[in-house]
Order: sequence, then C-alpha cells, then structure tokens
Amino acid sequence: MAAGLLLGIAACSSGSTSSTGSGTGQSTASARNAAAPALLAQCAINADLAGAAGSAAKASDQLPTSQQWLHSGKIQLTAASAGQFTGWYEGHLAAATVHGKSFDQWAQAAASSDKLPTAVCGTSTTASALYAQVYAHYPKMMKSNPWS
Amino acid sequence: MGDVGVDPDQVAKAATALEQLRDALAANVPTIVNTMSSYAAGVNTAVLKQAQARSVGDAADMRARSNLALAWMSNPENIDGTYGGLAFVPWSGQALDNADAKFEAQALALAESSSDPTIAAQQLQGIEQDLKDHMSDSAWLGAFYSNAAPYVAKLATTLHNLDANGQQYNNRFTVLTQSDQQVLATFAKGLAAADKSGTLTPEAVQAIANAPDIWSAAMLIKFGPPGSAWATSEQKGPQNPDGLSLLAVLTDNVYKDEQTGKIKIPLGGGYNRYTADDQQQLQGTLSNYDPLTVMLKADSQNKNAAWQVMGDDNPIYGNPGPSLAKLLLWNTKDLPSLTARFVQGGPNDKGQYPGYFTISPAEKSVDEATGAIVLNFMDPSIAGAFLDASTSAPRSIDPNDLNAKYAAQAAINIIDGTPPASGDGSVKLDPALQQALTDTAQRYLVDLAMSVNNQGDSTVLKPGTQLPAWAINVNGQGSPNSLSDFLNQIASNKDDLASLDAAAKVTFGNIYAQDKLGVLPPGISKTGADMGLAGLLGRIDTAANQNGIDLAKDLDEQHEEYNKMLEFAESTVKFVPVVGEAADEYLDPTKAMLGLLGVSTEFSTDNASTAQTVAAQQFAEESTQLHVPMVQSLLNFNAPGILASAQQANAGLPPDQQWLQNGQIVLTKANMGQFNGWYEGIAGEPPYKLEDLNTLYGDAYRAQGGAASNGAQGPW
Repeated sequence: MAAGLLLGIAACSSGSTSSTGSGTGQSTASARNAAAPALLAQCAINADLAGAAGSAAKASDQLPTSQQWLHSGKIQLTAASAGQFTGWYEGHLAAATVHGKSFDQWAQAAASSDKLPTAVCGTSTTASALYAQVYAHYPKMMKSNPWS
Repeated sequence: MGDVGVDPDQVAKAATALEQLRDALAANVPTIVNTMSSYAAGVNTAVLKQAQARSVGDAADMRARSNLALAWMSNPENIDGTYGGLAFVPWSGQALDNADAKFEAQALALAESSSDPTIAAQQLQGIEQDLKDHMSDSAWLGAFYSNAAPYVAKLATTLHNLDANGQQYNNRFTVLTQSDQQVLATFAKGLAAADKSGTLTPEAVQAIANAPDIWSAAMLIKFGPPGSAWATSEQKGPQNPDGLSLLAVLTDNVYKDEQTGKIKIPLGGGYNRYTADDQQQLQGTLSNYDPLTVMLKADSQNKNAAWQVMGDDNPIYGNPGPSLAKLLLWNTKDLPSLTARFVQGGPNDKGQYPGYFTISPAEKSVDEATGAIVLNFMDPSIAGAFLDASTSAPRSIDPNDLNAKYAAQAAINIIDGTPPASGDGSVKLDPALQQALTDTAQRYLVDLAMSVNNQGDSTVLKPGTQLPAWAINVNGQGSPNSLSDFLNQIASNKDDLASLDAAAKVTFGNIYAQDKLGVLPPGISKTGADMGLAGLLGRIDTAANQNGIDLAKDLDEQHEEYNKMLEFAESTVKFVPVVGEAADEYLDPTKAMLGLLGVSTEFSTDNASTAQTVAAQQFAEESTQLHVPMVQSLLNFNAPGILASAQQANAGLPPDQQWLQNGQIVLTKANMGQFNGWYEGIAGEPPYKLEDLNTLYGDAYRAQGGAASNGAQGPW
C-alpha cells in the first residue's frame, strides 16, 4: 500500500494538471502507448491486414479535407485529424485479430517492448521511422520521438 | 364572404354591448353554475357555460369589425367611396382575423411611436385585450406577430420609456413596472403560442431573434412562459439556414452582443447617483434583467435550444459553444462565475448622463471614467442546468439526427472548456456545474474511454466511425489535455468521482459480458471499448490521486475518505448508467444510449450497484472489485453455466451466508468469504476466464496512469 501511496504522490508532484504529459519515463511509455495504434494501423494498411486499407481510405475520404488522415495510403496526423483517426481505429481496427492477437494487444506489446511486432509490420521499417512519417505534419508531436 | 358594408357607429355600439355581456357573463356564470350544482337542482347549466365561452370570441370579432370600420373611414382613399356612411370590412372567418391582426399590428406601431404616455398606454391596453381574446387562435396570432414582430421586439424598451421615468428618484431601481411586466407577459404568451404552432413567418422570427434592441427582445422570454412552451425549431431561411429555434438564435445573438458590449439595460436617469447603500439592490436589479441569464434558463427548459446554442458550430450563428462553455465553467482570466460587468452610462461620461447600464463582457477592462460598475455573477444553478441540458439529446445512429450531433458537439465544448481542479490555473467548480460535468461524462462514458489515446483535438464522429451512434473523441493526450482536466474536475468531488468510477465499472462489466456471450451489437469494437474503459479507469484513478484521493486505500488503514466516497456512491446509484430509476427516459440519454448499444436496461441494478459498492469496500484490499459487476453482468445476460453454478454454490449455505438473492449478488461481511471462494473456483474456468482480466486489461489500466495499482493488479 505504501508503494501505491508513493506513486500517487509522484503523480501529484509532476507539477502538471494533466497526467500523461511527456517528459518522464512513464510519460515516454505513455506516449508510445498513444502512438502505437497509428503505427500499427500503418503496418496494417501497408499489408492490407484485416481489410484495413479499404476501410481506412473510405473513412478518411468522407471527411472534410482538414480532418483527412490518410493521404495516398500514408497516415499523416495533425491536431485536426488525429481525433478522427483514433475514432476509426477504435471502431474498426482495435478489435481485429491477426496472428492470434488483436491490434490493441499488438499495440500494447509494441509500446511495452519499444519495437514493432514483425508479425504485423515485417522487418523493413522501424517504429521511429514510422513515427516520423505519421507525425511529420504535427509539430507538437515531432518535438520528441518516444521510439528508439 | 367578401367585405360587407357596416355602419361604424352601430358596430361600435354592438362591440361595446358584447364586451359588457362578455364581462357580465365572466363575472356571474361561474357563481351561478357553482350555486346550482351545490343544490343539485337538476338544471342544465351547460348552456350558460357555452354562452360565456362564446361571448369572448363574439365580442372580439365585433370589436375587430368596429376597429376596421373606423380605420376604413379614416383612410383618405375611402372618402370618395363611402356610401350612406357605410364602411366596407371583412365580416367573419380568416379574412376578418387577418385584417384585425394586421390592424392591431399597425396599432402597436402607432402606440410605440406615441409621445403621449397616457394615449400609448390606452392603445396598448386595447391591443393586449384583443390579444388575450385570441390567445387560442393560432391563425390570428400568426397573422398578428408576422406583422407586429418588430414592434413586439422593442416593446420592453418602449414600456420602460413610458413608465419608468428615470428622473424620479424613486424609480432608480425600476426597469419595468408591474403593469409593464403584465403587458409583456401577454405579448410573450401569444408569441410563444404562435411560435410553437409554427405560424410565425421566418421574417417574424428574425425580427425577434435578431432584433436591433436585443435586450428588449430577451425580456419577452423573461416574462413569457417557460422555455418548454416555445418552438424547438423554425423554418429554414437565408438568415437561419439550420432552422434553429427562435430561442436558440436569440440566445446566440444575446451572447454575441454581450461579448461586443452592445447591450444596454435601461435603468435610472437624470443626475441621480447610486450610493454605497444602493449597491446591493442595484446589483440584484441588474442581474435580474441580464438577458443572457434569462436566455440560458429558458434554453435549459426547452432543451433543443440548449443543444443548438452549444452544438451548432455554423459560423452564421457565431458558434458560441466553445467560448460560452468556458465562460460558464469559470475558465476565463476573470473572477470565477463572473460573466459580465454592468457599467453605468456611456464611455467617458463619468455617469453624468446615466439612464442605462452597458453590459461589458468578462475579461474586458472597463474605463474607470464611467459611473457605477456592478459585477454580474451568474447563478451556477442556471449555468449548470443549461450545460447539463445541452448534452441531454438522446444518442442516435441516424446520420441525419442533428440533435444528437449538436449534443455531441456540446459535450466536446464542455469537456474542452473545463478547467482542472488542481494544479496551475485550477478552480474548483460549484456543485451545480460539476453535476453537469458528471452527467455529461456518463452520457459519453464509452466515448471517453475510447479517447484515452487521442493525441489530436476533440472531434465529433459520425455514426459508424467509432460507435454505431454519433460519438465524440476527446483530446486525451498531451500536457495539458482535455480528458485529464475534465476528469480531474469531476474527481475533485468525491460524490461525483464515486459515481463515475462505479459507472465505468458497470459499463465495463456489461460490455465484457456481452462480448463473452456473443451478444455485443455489431458496430461496437469490444476491444476498443473495454480496453478503453480499462484505460479510463486508470485515468479516473490518476485524477483521484491528483485530488488527494486513493481509490485503492486499504480498509485496514481505515481511510475515512474512501468510506465516505463509497457512501456517496450508494446515495447516487441513480447515476449509474444502467439503473432504470429515471422516470423520464428523455432525460436519461445514458439509458437510451445503452439501449442503443444493445445493453439491457431492463434489469434492476440497484442490487448490482449496491453489490458493486459494497464489493468495492470489501475487496479494496485485494484489488478485485471489478469482478463483481462483471459476474453480475454475466448473470444478467444468462451466461450459460454461471447462474447454475452460482445457484448451486449458494443453495447449500446458511441463510446469512447466501450471497445470491433473486439473481442478484448482494454482498455482506457474512457472505463475502463464500462469494469469494466461489469466484476463485470459476475464475480460471473457460469460457469466461475472469482471472485473465488482470493480465489482459492491467496494462491498459497502468498505461493511463493507474498510479495506485502498486504495479500489479488494478484497484478495480
């Protein structure tokens, strides 16, 4: 219990009103956790796993231009489009299963291990490179890349 | 029937006679009928009642003919056309109504332009009487207001100018006299009736809702019937392309004009100054006539208007939602709950020529050279009710359901506009405002859960994107982020925190059970929903910690705060989403949402909630509370094997150790050990494998900062 209390105090003493800001070890893991769905989704689109390519294109194309998050098969998130992407991911891809795990589980595993799963993403790309592509037009997210 | 020739004098006499008859019948018929009835005289009094009822319309019609005849005779164009002193007027039906309504509209314009207060008052009295006589005649009302709307809109200011002479010291607190208020009430009642019946033209709606004197127009709402008596939408037109209600458009314009300092409240005059002793009454008077307060109160009663004001982001209406939410949620750089300052007189006149107070918006500095400055703090109960109403539209899977879309956008504006309750720039909100936040959170609970990893701005999602219904994805990542600040504010109130935590657990349990049983509706991503809810529980836990509350405190250490929190939860079980206590389903969109999502709302969850609450208390030490609502959900959905197993385990126990009562888990100190033993026996068994929860969802929980989890199982 004491450890729990200490963790609670640590959360309070971060000096921030928000819990998941970047800058700490936990925040880096949290940042990877938040970014992992986009990276896994890009892998799924590239390999057209679980019908991701068609579903993603359809979902993005029907949005106003500023909220479109898929451009020529590449996920590019901005402040205006990231929410729409998250909605699509949670509603369509998170539960889809490939190689025995749901994308949510693959994303969790990726965030924990700081690596993309080869079963989903192959070996030709890295998490860091995919992150740079996905957030290339999102300056706030480009300030730091949580993937090694 | 076309126009008929009438003798104006004779018709006027007939009108007077019918009015006398009307008044005589009104004064005596009720007494006569009551008396006859009390003696059981067997006399049929129905004819008397019919005569009385009919006398109102007969008198009104004859007065209308008389008025029209006089107007016809006074028209220079008709002088040459008169024949034998006759005037030609419509005699009955819609033609008479239309002509009379138009006549009264013109009379109102004349009365308002009169320089003689006595004559103007007499004219207004006559119009008011005709209005009363036609109060149930929607066609007449529509014709009247379609012609008279611009004059009705400025009636309050006209009445103030006629009756509240600012030069008299005793009138220094008089905005509208009692008589003025009564006149306004009549005109407003008729306007609301016409509005609700759909007989107002778009032009008439605009004349009221977009009036040059917006304060005066808003006073019709203040003294009129409740917001529920007004229309929920209007005909679409160039100035109102989305067909928003009169209330909504008027609110939009009131807010816009308040923000730009265009609104003046007429009060006082001459060289009168307000002394220190006057300040309290002055503040009360001005606050009472604040048009924004008036409109928000009516909008919350109307509901549709609240959805539209907070949720329609079409720029033509000014998109007030985001900034209005911040203003009402004390998220400004000004004093908490201060929505405006009332500034006496015009700029730089040092109060020398008062007679009105300009409404200066919050955050705007005021010229010190002006006269008195009065602060306006909006009543949190009015602001809270408005915000609460704004997100109350039922969830809908219909892509064309704009109400659901507006409410979703309203929820985003509220969540984005909520200040944190701890840390930099924090403020702890009034309970009435926090109630609006908690209700909004529970209406969009699954949406919040699916937002925990959203790095972008908050956005509305069309049906089929994330959920089958209109949904929201809130900014959930970054420092600061909307979701954390919103949860932080809710968690600052233990009562609200307990409600939200319990709601999240019960919803989690329902989704889990439905997925396990294969009855989760299509279109809902189970993984997205339940992993999100696990994450949301972590975020709630973090928010609680930021407010000094540890949701997983060990009972052995007797943390009173935690016990109180659970007591609060017991007293607020009606807020747990699956409880069907709310009498008005319309006011309980959470219930509708769960129905929509396929979650049963029929079973009583009083016991389930109590069980969850008790369980939370009893099992806090072991960090296993969540399994109780999960097992309860499995029982509720008749999960094969579970009910039979539970009944079998329960059957052989002494009464005080039985934990299953009519299909509900009811835990006590005496039976807790028995329940726990049974649970542990089934937890690892397929197909449910409840114990897998800790590994399956624990990471999602901890990833969202489940700080009290002690690095192992979550406190859920």
